Order: sequence, then C-alpha cells, then structure tokens
Amino acid sequence: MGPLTWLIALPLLGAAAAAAVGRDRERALRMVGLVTSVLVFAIAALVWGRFAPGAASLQFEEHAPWVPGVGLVYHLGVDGLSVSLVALTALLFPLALGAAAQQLAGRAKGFVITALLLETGMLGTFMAQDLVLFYVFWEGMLIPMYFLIALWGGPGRAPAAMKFLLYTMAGSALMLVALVAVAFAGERIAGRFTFDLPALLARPLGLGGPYESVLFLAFTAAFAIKMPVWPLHTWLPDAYAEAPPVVTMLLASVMAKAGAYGLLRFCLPLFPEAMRAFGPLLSVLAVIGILYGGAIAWAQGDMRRLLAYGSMSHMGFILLGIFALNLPALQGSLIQMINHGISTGALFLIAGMLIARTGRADTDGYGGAGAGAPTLAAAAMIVALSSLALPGTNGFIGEFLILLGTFQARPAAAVLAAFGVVAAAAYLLAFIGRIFHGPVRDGLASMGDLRREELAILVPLIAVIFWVGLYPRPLLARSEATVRALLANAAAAQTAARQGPHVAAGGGTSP
Amino acid sequence: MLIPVLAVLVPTLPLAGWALNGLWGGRFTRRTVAIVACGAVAAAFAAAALLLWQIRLAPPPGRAPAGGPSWIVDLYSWIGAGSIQVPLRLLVDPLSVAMALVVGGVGLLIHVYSVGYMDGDPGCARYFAYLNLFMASMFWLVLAGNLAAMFIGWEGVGLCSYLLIAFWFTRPAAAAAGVKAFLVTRLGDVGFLLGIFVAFGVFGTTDFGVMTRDAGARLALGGGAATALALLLFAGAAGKSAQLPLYVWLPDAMEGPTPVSALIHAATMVTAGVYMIVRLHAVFLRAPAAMDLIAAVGAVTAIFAAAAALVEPDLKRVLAYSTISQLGYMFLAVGVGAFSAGIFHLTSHAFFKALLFLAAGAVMHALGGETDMRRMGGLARRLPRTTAAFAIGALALAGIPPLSGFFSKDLILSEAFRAQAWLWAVGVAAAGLTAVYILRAFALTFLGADLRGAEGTAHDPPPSMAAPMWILAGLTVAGGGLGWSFTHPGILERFLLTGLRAGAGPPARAGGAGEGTLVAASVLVAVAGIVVGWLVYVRRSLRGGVPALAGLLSHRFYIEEAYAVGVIGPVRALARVAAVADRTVTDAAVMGLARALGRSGQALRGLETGYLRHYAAFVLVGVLLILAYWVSR
Repeated sequence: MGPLTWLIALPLLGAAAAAAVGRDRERALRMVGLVTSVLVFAIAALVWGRFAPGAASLQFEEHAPWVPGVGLVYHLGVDGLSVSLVALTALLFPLALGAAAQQLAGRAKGFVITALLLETGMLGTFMAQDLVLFYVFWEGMLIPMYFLIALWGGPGRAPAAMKFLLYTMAGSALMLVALVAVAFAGERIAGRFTFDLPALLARPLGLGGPYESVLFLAFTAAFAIKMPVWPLHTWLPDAYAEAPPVVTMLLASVMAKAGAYGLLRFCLPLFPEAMRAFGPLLSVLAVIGILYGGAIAWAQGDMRRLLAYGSMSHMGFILLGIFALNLPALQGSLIQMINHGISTGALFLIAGMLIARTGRADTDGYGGAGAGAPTLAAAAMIVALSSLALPGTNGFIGEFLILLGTFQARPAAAVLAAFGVVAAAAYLLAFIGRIFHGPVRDGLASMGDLRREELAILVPLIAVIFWVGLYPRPLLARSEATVRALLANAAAAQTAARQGPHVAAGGGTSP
Repeated sequence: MLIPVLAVLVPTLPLAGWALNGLWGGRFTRRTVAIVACGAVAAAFAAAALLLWQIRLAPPPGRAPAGGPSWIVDLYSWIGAGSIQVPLRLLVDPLSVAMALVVGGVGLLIHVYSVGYMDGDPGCARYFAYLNLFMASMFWLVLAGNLAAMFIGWEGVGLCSYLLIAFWFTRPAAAAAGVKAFLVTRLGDVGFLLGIFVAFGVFGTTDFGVMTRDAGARLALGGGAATALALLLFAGAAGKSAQLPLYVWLPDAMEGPTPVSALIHAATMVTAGVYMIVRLHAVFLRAPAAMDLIAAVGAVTAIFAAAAALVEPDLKRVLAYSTISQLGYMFLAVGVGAFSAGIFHLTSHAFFKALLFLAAGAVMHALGGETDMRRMGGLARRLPRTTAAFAIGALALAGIPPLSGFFSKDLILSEAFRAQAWLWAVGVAAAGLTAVYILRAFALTFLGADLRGAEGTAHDPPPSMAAPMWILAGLTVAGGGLGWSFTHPGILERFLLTGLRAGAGPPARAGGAGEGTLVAASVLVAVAGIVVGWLVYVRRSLRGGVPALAGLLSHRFYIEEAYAVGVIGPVRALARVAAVADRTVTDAAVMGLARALGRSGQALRGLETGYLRHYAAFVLVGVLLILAYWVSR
C-alpha cells in the first residue's frame, strides 16, 4: 500500500474506530477524529515534500485491477494539479475538526464519522485517475456533505441541504453519462475499453465538433455547479449560511476546488477544442460572477452570506484564469485554489468563532468588537487582507497571475475583473468595519479574545498566508511542469483535431 | 560591499520593529515600545545615510542601466510563471537614496514627536507597530527595483494609511474615513495593476532599469502603448497622491492622529505618485499627451484645492487641502518634464508641511483635540513657540523667500512657464490663493481674541514634541539650499541628474532675462496674497465677498455630492436589487429552466419525491444498470 492509498484508507479506519466508541464519550471521539486527520496530514505533507517539482507526470502512482471486465482500474496518483490540493485538504481537516470541537456541542460521534468519510471522498477525488473511481469519490463526498448540512445546520437546513443535493446530483448525472461516452470514444481510438484517464489520453481522442461540445458541457455542468459558476450558484447562499461554519469552510475551501480541479483534470485534456471554443462564454460568466458576487456580498447583512457571495466572487477569478489557457493564468488559478481554501476557510472559521461567542450572524448586531478582542480583530484583519489580495499575502500572487495571464488572452475581461479587486476590498472592509469597528455594542466588550485552542487553529492558516504571499515558489514550482505539459498537449490535440479525427485515429501519433 | 546590506536593512529594520511591537507590544512598557519603534526608524535612517555616503564613495559596478550610478540588490525570485518573472529587487541610486533620506528623516522626527503626542493613549503599542509597518512599506516603495515589487510597498502604505486613519476605530467617522481612503486609492490602483500588465506586454518585465533603457526602442513616441501605460500608471498615482478626481479621501483622512497626517498624508505616502512618475520618467516622456494631461490635472488640482482650503473651518482639513494643492504643483512639475523640480518641491514640502501639521498637532494637544478654527483664536499668547513654528511653515508654504518653499515652487513655475504659459498662470494664481488661505488659518488660530477665555491651561508642547518641530523648522529655512545656487542646477538636482539624465536628456534651462521677471511676479503674488489675507482676516477691513462662490467653495464644487449621487448611490442600489433578485429571479430562472429541460414535466414530478433515499436509489440503480450492461457485454 502506497502513501496515497493510506490517505484514503486512514480516514475510513478512523471512522470505523469512531463507530466503535460509545456516543457519550465525546472527548475520545474527538480525539479519534483529530489524531486520524493529523496522521493524514502528516502523510500528505510527506507526499508534498517528496514530490519532485520538475516532473510533469503522475507521481506516487498506484495501480491495481478493480473491475477488469469493464475497464475499471484502481489508479491513484498526484501531479502538479493535485499535490498541493491534497495537502490543503489534509491541512484543513484537523483544523475543522478542532474548530468543531469548540463550536458544535453534542453529537460528536456522528460528526466525526461523517467528517472522516468526507475526507476520504475529497482526497480520493483529487487523486483518482480512473473516471469511474473519480466519480465514486465525487459522489462519496456529496453524501456526507449532505448529512453535515442537513443534520448540523441552522433552522433552514433541510431545504438548503436538499437544494444542494438536487443541484449537485443533476450535475453528477450529466457527468456520469458523459464519462461513459468518453470511454466509448477511447475504445474507438485505442481499441480498448477503459476508464483509465492516462490511458485515454495516451493518444488524442479526436472527438471534435458538436459531440465534443456536448460532452464538454456535461462535464462542465457538474464542475460549474460545484464551484459554483454564475448562474448555477443559487444553492450556495443557503447551503453556506445554513451549514455550521466549520462545514461551510470545507464546502468553500475544498469542495469548490473540486469543481475547478475537474475542469483542469478532465475538460482541458479531454476536450481541448471545446475548452477553446467555450472560453469566451465561460470568461463572461466568470466576470459576471466576480462582479455580481462582489456587489451582492457588499449588500449582505448576514456575515455568512456576505462571505458566501464573496467566496463565489473569488471563484470567478479561478474560472477566468482556467479559460485564459496560458501558463501565467493557469498557474495563477492553481495557486489561487490553495489561497482561496486558506483565506476563505479562515474567514468562515472566524465567523464561526464570532457566532459561537454571541449567537449573532447579522453584522448589524456587532460593532466595536476589536476593543474587547484585539487578537481576534487582528487575525480577522490579516485574513481579510489576504482575501482582498494585498501584495505580500497569498491572495495577491494568485489574482496577479490570473489577471496578468487573462490580460494577455482577453484584455477586456481582465480589465473588468480587475474591478472585482475593488469590490473585494469593499465587502471585506465592510465585514471588518461592521464587526470590529465603530462604537462598542452591548456585551461585546466582554466577548472574550481568542483562546489558545482557537489561536492554534488560526496560526497555521496565517502562516500559510504570509508564506505563500512572500515565497510562493514551492507551490508554483510544483505545478509548473504539469501545467506546461497540459497546455502543450491541448495545443497539439487541437492541431490534430483540426486535421480531422481520422488522421488522428489512423496516425496514432501521441504528442 | 556594504551597499546591499544597507539597502536591505533600511526596510527590514522598521519591519522588525513592527513585529516586536505588534506581537509583544502589549506586554512592553510604554518606554520600551517607544524605544523599539524610534530605534528601528533611527537605525533605518542611519542605514540610508550610510547608503548616501557609500554611493558617493563607490564607483558603480559595471555599466549602470539607467545611465547613472545604480546598484541592484536581488533578494530572491518572488513570482515566476514561464516568461513572467518578478524578482524581489532593490534599486539603489541617487533618486531612491534621496527619497529614503526624506522618508527616514521626516519619519524619525515624527516618531519622536509621537512619543509625546500619543502618551496616555491605551493603543500606544498598536500605534507604533502600525507606524513602523508604514515606514517599512514606504522604504520598500522607494527602494523597489521593479513595478511589481514596488506595488508591495504601494499597497502596504495604503494599508497602513487605512489602519492609522481608523486608529481610533470606535469612532464611526474615523472607521469610515479609513475605508474611504482604502477604496478610493484602490480604485486608482486598478490602473496601476493594469499598467504593470501593459509593461509586461511591452517590455517583458517591469524592471525599472530595463524599462528606462528600452523605453525609447519599445515605445513609439506618442504611440498607443506609451500613452496607455502612462495613463494607467497615472491613475494609480492620482489615487495615492489625491489628485482630481480621486482626492476625496484625503480631507477625511484627517480623522487619524495628527502625527500620522504629518507623516503619511503630507510628507511621504501621498508623494509616492510623484516619485513613481519620476522613477519612470523615461516611459512617461514617450507619451507627451499623457504628460500634458498630468500637468493639467496638477495645475487644476493646485488651484481647486487652494480655493477649497480658503473656506474650510477645520485647521487640519485646511492643511489637507493645502497638501492636495501642493501635490498638484508636483504633478505640474513632472508633467512638464521638470522631474528634479518635482522631487525638490516634494522634499521642501515634506519639511514645511510636516512642520505645519506638527504645529497643528501641538495646538490640538494644548486644546484637548480641538481642530475647529472657529473655536480657536489668540493662541499666540499662550503658545508662542508653536505660533513661531507654524509661522515659519506658513511663510514657506506661501512662497516667501528665502524659505525653502519659495525656491521649489518658483522652480516649478518657471519650468511651467517655459512649457505652457497657461500652466504658469494657473500656478501663480494658486500661489496667491495659497498665501491667502494659510494667512487665514494662521489668523483664525493664533491671532485675534482669545475665544477660550480662562478656560484652559493651554501651553506649548513638551521637549519631545518641540524638538522635532524645531528641526523641521530649521530644514524649512535651510531646505532651499538643496535646490538653489547661483548657477543652475542646484545640489539636489545635480545629485539626481546622474540618474535622471538618461531618458530626460539635458534639462532645458535657458535662464536669462525672463527668469528674474518670473521670480518677481511670483513673489509679488505671494506678498499680495498675504496682504489680502491680512486685510480680510486680521484687519477685517475687507468684508463680504461673493456668497455664491463661498457656497460653491465650501461644497468643493459639489464633487463629493456628485460621487454620492452618481457613483455610490447607484452602485449601492444595484447591489441591493441584485441581492434580492438573486434569491428570486436568478434562482427561479435556473430552477425553471432545469424543470423545463426535463422532457416530461409530468413524468418527472412523480420522481421528485423529496426523499433523499429515493434520489440515492436512482443514482445507484443507474450506476448498476450501466455496470451490468458492460459486464454482460
């Protein structure tokens, strides 16, 4: 068993262990969850540290026959697209479980088990190299997430969870059909029916034309709903606001990334021509999402909805960078996935800490909280600054590269999106201002500053904010070779597609 | 070689001060906080001074890119993606060292002044932490070797400006003013950011040396790329340096502590835009249309803000409008290509405006925070030394020889005359208004009846606050020597020219007969302004005026109202509408479309049971059917 299988298996084992512990032994249950997720993070950190930056191909690969009769393989691997996302996911789970221990009283057993199952699903999604295996993990993170919202959420949790489920299942259903169709196409080209992605990509699929467009749209629908892309986002405000903040953090930080990751992992190599053809449309949607989300965030009174729309606005930048289809923009999108996970995650954690103290989610219920909780105010300020892309913090690196690359490909989109940076400053400073500044509201002076456990959760995130902001090289270096190869293959496949599918099929020249 | 070490120390020492006071300031005594903060800045200033000594001493290594002596200090590669490479690089040359000395010198004085001014404020450690972070950012801004690295300092000083304006954050006006400053300057920074992208497109880099060297080859004179690049960068400069129409944040920024107003909103940060244009003068010279616009914006801002200062009742806000007006002179200077004159005025303005603010701070300190001049008056008897200091600053601002402000403003005006006579005329008119408004401020504050009566025990500030004022007063008096000499160019210009000449060509300086007339004219206007001010505000023999004009002035030509009605209101309304529409229209449209896409609405309605287990079962059955099909195949 290689390290990647351990990453998937450990949370399952932890969940099993938690299932064996009595439900009234909350401390033990939380300890099982925490220890498991810390071990998972240790392995993920090891994988990240030992990942060879210069190589474009998959590393730490694990192959095993799964259902050979239908071309299913158990194939795991990480490359530049996924290695940092795996590390991010593994980093956030112990923090989320730690925060949950402080913010969610009771029902620890169910929570720990469900969260660990979710971790398996999320890590598997980023590592699976077989289309069906990916689909299994993809759905595997949907079900625990549904329960986390539906069982631990706020008063409106039931409809919010159902809407989330319906939306994502609609997308998943389309993707399921499309991935079977892709396997068919692969069989036509290679003469072998398989769902193994590297095998399918060994030679250009040469789909082309409307067929490629339809399959691209089916995949993209699933990914766009997860991100979410305007106008498929209307599940988000309810789900983000109704879920407990620690769960929202996992929704925004990891699950949204799965959508963006899917575009790069599947759509770009499988449907390069459609990626190019639909680029303008999706860039327009991205710009709308950036500005629309930013404007609405500014008008929100509920801090969770403010952060939810802000998160959507920031995901627009990632989408914009992906469809600029050049190296700076793609690198920017990849590093921004990590940044968004760190910064938005930290914002939701802080929102959770505030709500746990006061029971208020409406920002108008706050004011002057910085007087009684200066450390919390400082932490919130740093995180907000990273989210509004202040140079020196992580957010700047990503948005700078995205906008720079987009400016080269689509100047108009980049100019419009650049105003999203002003919008981000507007709603994030409004968030800070309404809560921490102004006359001190009743009861907030004695609200209590960050406790040591809370500091232990926020300090790692703040450390990453400055590390990536000042020295992003380790992250950028890990993904550059893969992104380069991806773009080169996409360009080659486009050329092949223009020469006609028969040439590509007959010639069998792999790029 | 000492230069790289010194160059790195200059920004990192205050950064260390920030870290120390920011993390542990709460546990330090006031004394320790003050020693850490002032010590860090003093050390940084000493490093900058050593840097000056070193670059005068050492021959430049190899061929210097900008045509003058310059040293490049590479720290590490910051952002890299293919051909896009941004190293963290410092550039040490006469211009950056001169700026570092101004920033460090004025910064040190204001740190020392702050020890007395902020004594007794519970947020003292936070204040000095922010102030040190500002120094680090500002040093970084002036020493950065490329546009992208400069942007770190550029936004960093903006952040500190926001933090320090909103320092007393429980006051709603202070919190709002901080946000306003951040957002308005960030609007300009969109231009700066896009300018960086254009620079990458044109030069493949944003390195100042390369941009200066290649500007002639890569930018067609008056071409679209040159004009776009210059205008985008100017948008950033106009935001940071509070030029029309982005000036609106600076008067409100006076909500911050007064030493902050002196340091950030008069002497250093707000001049960053001028510095950036001078730094990239080779690029700006390729865009004559943009240069004309910069000069025009500067001239119009100079007279507009001077007029606004004329009716402002708040002492600090008078000085804020005065700063906007003086920054306008600097942009006028760089717009007509008089780059070293711009830096000269930047320097002398840093001295006399910091002095004015510190004197105003001493007044506030004595009056318990009062800034409204309608409740002042007659303070000359109570605060004789503060009055003298303010008077020196005011005379320099008014352009009375032989104070520094006279030399630097006069140099700008004569350069403007050579470029376009109307710019000179506007500049001279603004100079007249300047003399009037500063005399008005002086008269309302220090002369006339003592409105406070026996109420207070107002007295001159303690030595820790007085000493920086006297040093600045000395610099205000002597600062003219930096730019004046019997034969142009002066010391500062000769020093700067070694770095500036490359792109700019030899400075066009005819001198001769016209010069004397111009100088006489501007001195006459200044004196006339003072006389008019004296008659109106002291002797009160000229009353009345034009009420309509006064109304227009006191509303600053309704520019802020236009923003509120034309920009902020509609955006806010749009955002509110969108927020509601998102929950109704967008949601309904998507859900409706999803239903319509289902081929048979009736058939699907039966499946829409709302039970999770049914949906899960559907998915499972679907997957099993597909698998079964393939297994049996």
